[in-house]
Amino acid sequence: MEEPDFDDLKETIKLAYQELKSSLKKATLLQCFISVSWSKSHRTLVNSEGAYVNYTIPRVGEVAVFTLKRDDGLSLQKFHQREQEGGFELFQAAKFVESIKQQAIELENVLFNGKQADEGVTNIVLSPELTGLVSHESVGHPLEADRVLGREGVQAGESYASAQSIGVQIGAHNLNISDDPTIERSNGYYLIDDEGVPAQKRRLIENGRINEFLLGLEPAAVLGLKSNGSSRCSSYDREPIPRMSNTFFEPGDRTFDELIEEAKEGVYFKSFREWNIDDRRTNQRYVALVAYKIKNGEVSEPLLMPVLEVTTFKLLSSFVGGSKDFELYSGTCGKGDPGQPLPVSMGGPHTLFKGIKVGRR
Amino acid sequence: MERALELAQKAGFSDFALKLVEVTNCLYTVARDSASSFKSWDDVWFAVYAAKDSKEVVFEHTKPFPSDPSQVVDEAQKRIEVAEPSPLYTPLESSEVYEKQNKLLEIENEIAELSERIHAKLSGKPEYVSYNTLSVWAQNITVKLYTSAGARIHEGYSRCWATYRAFADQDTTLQRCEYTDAPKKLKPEESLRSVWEDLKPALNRLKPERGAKSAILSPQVVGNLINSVGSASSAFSVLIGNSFLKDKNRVASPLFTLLDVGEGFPGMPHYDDEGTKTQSTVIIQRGELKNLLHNRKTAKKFGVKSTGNAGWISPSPWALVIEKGDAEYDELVRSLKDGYIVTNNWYTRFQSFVTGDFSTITRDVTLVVKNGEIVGSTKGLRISENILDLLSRAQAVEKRTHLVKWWEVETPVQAPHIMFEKVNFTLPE
Repeated sequence: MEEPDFDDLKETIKLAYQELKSSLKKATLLQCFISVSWSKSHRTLVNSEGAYVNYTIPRVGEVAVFTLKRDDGLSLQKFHQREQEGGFELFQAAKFVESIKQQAIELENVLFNGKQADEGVTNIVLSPELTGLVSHESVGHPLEADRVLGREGVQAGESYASAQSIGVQIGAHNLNISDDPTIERSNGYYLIDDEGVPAQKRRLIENGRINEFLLGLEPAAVLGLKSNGSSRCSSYDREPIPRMSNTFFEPGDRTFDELIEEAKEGVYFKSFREWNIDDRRTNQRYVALVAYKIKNGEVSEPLLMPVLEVTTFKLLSSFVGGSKDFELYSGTCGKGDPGQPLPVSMGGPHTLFKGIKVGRR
Repeated sequence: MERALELAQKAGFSDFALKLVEVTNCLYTVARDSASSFKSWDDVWFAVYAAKDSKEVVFEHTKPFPSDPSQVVDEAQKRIEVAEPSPLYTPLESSEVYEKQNKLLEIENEIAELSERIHAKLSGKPEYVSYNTLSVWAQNITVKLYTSAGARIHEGYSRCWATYRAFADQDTTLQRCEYTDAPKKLKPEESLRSVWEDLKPALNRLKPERGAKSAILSPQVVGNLINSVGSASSAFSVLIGNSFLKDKNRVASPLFTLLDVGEGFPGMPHYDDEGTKTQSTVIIQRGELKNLLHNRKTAKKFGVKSTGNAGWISPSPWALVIEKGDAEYDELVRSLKDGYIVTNNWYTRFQSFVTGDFSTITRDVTLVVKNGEIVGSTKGLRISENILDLLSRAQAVEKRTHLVKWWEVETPVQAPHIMFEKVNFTLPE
C-alpha cells in the first residue's frame, strides 16, 4: 500500500484546478473545490459463533465540486466523487486531472448550448451513474430487511416491500438487480460481514420479481431465513444492520449505440445533481446535470436540466434492456440511528426505459 | 494538555489549541409499538489546531488524548511541514478561563423511566392508529478547550430530543418531535396525544394536485429548510463561493427574521473552538441579510468581529431561531382558505448551492385545507423551489414557536408555522 507524496499531490490538485480553469471558453468559474483522500480501516471481529476476522482495507478517493456561470446568471454545479478499495498506487494523477477537465468541458457545453427538454412521455436512456442510483435508492434500500420489518420507520423510513413480498413482480420480466460485496477494488468490498457471515452476491430482483432481502442475523431470524452476509457497522460500537455494498442492474446484451438506436426519440440522462425519494421508496425525482436529446436514434443536442419524476413501479416495469458495458460509481450510504455512513458503490450498464414522462426544472 | 502546549511552544508553533470532547449517549427506540433498542455509548475524540509561519493544520482522532502528549505535537509537526501558508491565518487571541459543569444527568435511568411512560401511553392508543414508531436520544457533553493564547474552557451541557411517528397505515402517518436540555422535560404523553389527535382528520385521503398552491409549512419543514440557510450563512461558505447568500441583500419576506443562538439556547455551549463566547447573531432581519456567521479568520477577512461560531476552519450555526409572528395557528389555517399544510419533509437536495434551487419530498401526510378547514390529507407531493424565492413569499407567521430536532433537522431550530403563497408542488407521473 503506497502512501502519497504530499508535494506531488499538491501539484496534481493545483494542475487539476488550472486545467479546469483553462479549459473554459466562455463560462465563469464561480467556485471550485478539489480534494484527494486516502485512509486505512482496520477491523477485528471475534464472536461466540467462532468467527475470527482480521483485515485492513485501504481506500483512496477524490472529490471535485465546481460551479460554472453564464453572463445572464444561469449556473450549473458539478459534484464529482470517486472512491475505491486499495492503496494510493491506484490514484492516477494524469487520469484524475483529465477527468476533471473533461467534466468541465462537458458542463460548459450544456450550460451554453443546452435547450429545454420537450415535456411529455418519451423514452429514456440512463447512464451507469443514474442506473446505479436507481438500483441503490429504489431497490437496495427498500429491500433491507430491517426496513421491511419497520425498524427504521422513525428515521430512514419503511418500505414498499413487506415480509410477504418475496416473489412479487415489481419490474419487467428481464430486469435483474443485484448487490455484490465480493467485487475486488469496489468501494463496497468485503468478504465477511460484521457478524462473521461470509459475504455473497444477493440477487435482489430476478426476472422482475423480488428475490431476496438484504439480511443480517436478527432480521433473518425474525423472517425464518438465513443471513446472506449483509450486516455492516461503521464502528466497533455501532450495531451491525443490513446494508448495501455494490448495487447494480445486471448488464444486458446491447451496445450503447444499439440502445440509443432502439430508443429512437427521447432523453439520455448522463449525470444528475438534485434528487430525492420518499421514505417508502416509491416516489423519486432526478434532475439531470448533463443530458442529451435522442433524435432519430442518435445522441444529439444537450438539454438543460430535464426532470425525471416517476414511481419505482412505473420505472422498473418500463425497463426494456441494458447495454453490455458496466461501471460502478462510489458513494457514501447513510442509515441508522446513530447515523452509520458506509462506503458503497452503485452502477450497472446503460439502461433503456420506454414510455416515461420527462419534465423541466 | 498543559504539557502538550508547552511542547508545542518549544517546537516553534505560534498557535496551538486542543479540544477534548466526551459525549455520553443513550438512545431508546420503539418500532411498531415494540421496544426495538436501548443503546448506551460514549463518543470520545480530541482535535488539534496548530499554526506556524502562517501555515495551519487541523486534525482529530476518535480516541482519548494520549498519555504522552509529545505524540500529538510530533504529528502536528509532521503535518505542518507539508502545509502551505494560509491566507486566512489569524492568531488565536482569547484567554478566557471558564469552568462550569452542569449537573450531568443520569441519562440511562431517565430514559428508562421515560420508556415506561411511553409504553403506558402506547397501550391506550386510539383504534385508528395501527402502530407507532419513535426514538428518544439524550446526550451529556463535556468539552475541554486549551489554547496557547491562554484560553482554558471546561464546560458541560446536556440535550435530548424525541421523534414520535404514528401510523394509521403505511401511507397515513404523522410525526412530532421535541427538543430540550433534559429527558425529564420531554412530554411524550402530550406529544403522542397531539400526534394521534392531528392524525384523525388525515384519515380522509384525497388526491394530490400539482401546481402552485398556498401552503403552511410546519416547524419541522421550516426547520429542515432553514438548516440550509444556516449552512449558507457560514462566512466560509460565502468566501469559497458556495452559498446562495453571497452578495445578497434582501433574501426573504419582511415577515422573516432569523437568528443564530449559542448561549441561552437549550443544550448549547458558552464558548466556540477559538475560545470566543457564543452569542445571539441576527442573520436575517425582516427579510434583509444582516450578518454572516464568523470565526476569527473569516471575521478578519470580512473586516468584522467573530460571532463566536468557530470551527477552526469553517464557522457553523449553533441553533437557529425564527422570530415568531402574530397569527394564531387556527387563524393561519382559516386565512389559507384552500391549500396544503405540509407536516413533514425529508431529502432536501439542491441543484446548486450557489443559486439555491432545490426540491424536497413531503414525508408523512400533507393536510388538505378547503374553505379554511382541514378536510383530509394527501401524499406524494414534492416541493420544487428556489429557497430565496420561497422565503420571499412568506405571508404570515405563527405567534407560537416550537423546538425541533430530528434526523432531518441536524441543527436545532426554534420555528413557528409559516404560511407561503404559490408554493410549487410537483408529482410523479
